[in-house]
Amino acid sequence: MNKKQVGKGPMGTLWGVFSSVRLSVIVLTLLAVTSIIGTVIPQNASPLMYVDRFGEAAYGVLNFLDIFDMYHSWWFQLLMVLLGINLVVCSLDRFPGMLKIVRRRQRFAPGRYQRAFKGDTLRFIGAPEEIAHDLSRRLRSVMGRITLVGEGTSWFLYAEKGRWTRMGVFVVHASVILLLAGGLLGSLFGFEGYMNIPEGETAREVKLRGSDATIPLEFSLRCDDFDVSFYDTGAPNEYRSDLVVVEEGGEVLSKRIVVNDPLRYKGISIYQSSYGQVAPESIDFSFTSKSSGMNYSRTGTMGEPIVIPEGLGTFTPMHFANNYTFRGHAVGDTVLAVLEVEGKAPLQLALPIKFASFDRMRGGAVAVTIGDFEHRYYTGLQVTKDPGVWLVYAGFVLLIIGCYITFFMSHRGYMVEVAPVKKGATVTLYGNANKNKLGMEMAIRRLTEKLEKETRALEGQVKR
Amino acid sequence: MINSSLVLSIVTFIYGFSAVMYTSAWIFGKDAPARIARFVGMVGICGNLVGFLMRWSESYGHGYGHIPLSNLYESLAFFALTIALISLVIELRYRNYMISTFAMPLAFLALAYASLSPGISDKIQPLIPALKSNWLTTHVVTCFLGYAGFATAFGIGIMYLVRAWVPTSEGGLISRLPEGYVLDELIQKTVMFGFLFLTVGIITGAVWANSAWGSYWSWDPKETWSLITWFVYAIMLHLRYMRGWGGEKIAVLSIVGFMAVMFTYFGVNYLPGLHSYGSM
Ligand code: HEM
Repeated sequence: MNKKQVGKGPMGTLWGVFSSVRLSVIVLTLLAVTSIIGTVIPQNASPLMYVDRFGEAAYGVLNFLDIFDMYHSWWFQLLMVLLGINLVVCSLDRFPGMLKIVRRRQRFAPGRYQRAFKGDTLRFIGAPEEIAHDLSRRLRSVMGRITLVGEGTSWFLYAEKGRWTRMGVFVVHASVILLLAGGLLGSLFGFEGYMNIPEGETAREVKLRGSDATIPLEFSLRCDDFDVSFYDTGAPNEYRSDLVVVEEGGEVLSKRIVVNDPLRYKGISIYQSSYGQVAPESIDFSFTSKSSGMNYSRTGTMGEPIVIPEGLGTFTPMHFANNYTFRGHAVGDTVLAVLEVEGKAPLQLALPIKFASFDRMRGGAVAVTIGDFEHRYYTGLQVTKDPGVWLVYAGFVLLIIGCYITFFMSHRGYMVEVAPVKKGATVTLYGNANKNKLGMEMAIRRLTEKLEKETRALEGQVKR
Repeated sequence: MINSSLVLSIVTFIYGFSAVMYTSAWIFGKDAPARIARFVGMVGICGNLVGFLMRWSESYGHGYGHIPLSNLYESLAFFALTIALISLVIELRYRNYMISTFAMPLAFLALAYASLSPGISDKIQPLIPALKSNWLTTHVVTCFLGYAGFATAFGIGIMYLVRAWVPTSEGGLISRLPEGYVLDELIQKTVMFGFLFLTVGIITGAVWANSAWGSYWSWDPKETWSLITWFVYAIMLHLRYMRGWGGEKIAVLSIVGFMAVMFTYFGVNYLPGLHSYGSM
């Protein structure tokens, strides 16, 4: 697109490639098309699920291409980097030329308006020079500063508005560069993780998402209270946690957070994101014998076997699971346990807290129900650090401003021709715009109509 | 009992009637039906607005008042309102009723789908915690203004192709469509309008996401599809300005872009994700 670059060797060729809009159309198309993949294939699921769905061989290939985490894959990131380079080079390439256009003084030549939109010609009474001066006063509010030029017996009024709006495109592109840079900064120096804090406890380790690693925060976080409230319909209304930031033994900051209202401290943001029941220390179990109808109550702790009387076996609570799924049904918090009876294979038991008689349905020789235990919530917090977010926000603001300038403002030039005729002059409006030509056409038409109406009214007064 | 659902069902028929009158104005080449259609369309817009406000106040009656933009039914009702409003504004500004002839049926379809589809519940539901944000209104309103701009561009794109591909006879149906260059420019204008608002919509969504769960972009399917849509229209703007595309090619792109919009709006419901319009 820039002829100077042709024949400048490999660097010139490269520059030419990276400053071309063809490349940007190609890269944007590739981004759009490949983005679809990740919306169709679930991202970051377990390998087992993928093998199940695609088969071993296809899984290998797709995994090699990072399809299962494609938005963070090298090739997707490469496309974004290409877009960034393309934008920077393209802007550098075009900026000087644009600056020249924006700096150039308007040329006062009727020839420049040959292809402009032309309004209907009006007839005014009076001396052409007076008419021209009068018009330049009346049109100033619409057209901006007007320059009056006499040529032969005719007068020309020139005005120009919004030359700087041609720079709007650079604002748009600069904003996209800011977005890319902010995103890059965030992914290099930020993190995203979570921490679960039981009520009353303090923690400082953050588990990173997508890996097993943890990192310590510069401060500790204590959860004093967690609460969830529901609507009458049963839908959740609000989750909230009372958090306290503890640093070197002292309480620095306390805040009640809810979804949409996080706690921010030292560049770290802490969000309400989930909650759950803390696995209790001990649980009261009740064992009902089918044959005798007797009930036996025992208190158990995880991993400690309980011998059930009547030789009904050994019961070991193994694990407290939040939001357990039993044969495809979400049954809520559940105690998982093992029941061993002599001469039989050990049996896995699921005992949902919500459904007391669940184990009865098994129809075994003994039915286990869960009695009392200490109820305590933990709050699930999302913890993030993103030093790039301010660049991104700056990009957002510039993007909106830039789009507004590019789309709704234009560089407009006006010329009014005042040509002498018998007892007066003809007046014709011309308008030029670098975009929105139809809007210019409408504007010239309206302006001409308005001028005519005003003038008729004035002349009417004069005649009377 | 008169409630917002009833009002919006009635508005559906008003939009339908307006669309029929616009079409007959076109077919018979007369101005009178177009004037009726415009008046009826304005009545429809007022009714649509009344329905929206009633629903808003009804939600307070349920004890969990919120702006009615929280599920598919409510968003479709609002979508219909924005399409009707934008096409009428363009019609009045450009003094040409053909724009509404192609856009009013879209407003009718959106509302008819909301009111009549058995899969869409018109029950007023409480807001889940994630939706309780000041950003909800700005985000949804700007997104739908964007969608409405693209919907209008789609209607005009169809008009352009009809004009270009169907043989014209003097004084026939096709010859009453606006001139090609007018349509071409109108596609551009409505796409720019849509692009600006989609941009603001995506941005407000990102800012909201950052305030709700700490990351402004998480590649959830709806986010990704809105970005794809944004890319499609960005490509279109570049092809037009830098490669001189115009006419039929741009008209076709306005239709392709709208397909992406529709997928962002409805298709994504069949994919897993965070956005709540999925749950009908
Ligand atoms: C996501 C990325 C991008 C966005 C959102 C974007 C947006 C825009 C917009 C809104 C316009 C103005 C069109 C109009 O006048 O209506 C534009 C023009 C333009 N874009 Fe981009 N753009 C992007 C990427 C690029 C890239 C990578 C290049 C690199 C070659 C590029 C080159 C241009 C050029 C040369 C123009 C025309 C400027 C002029 O009118 O003189 N754009 N772009």
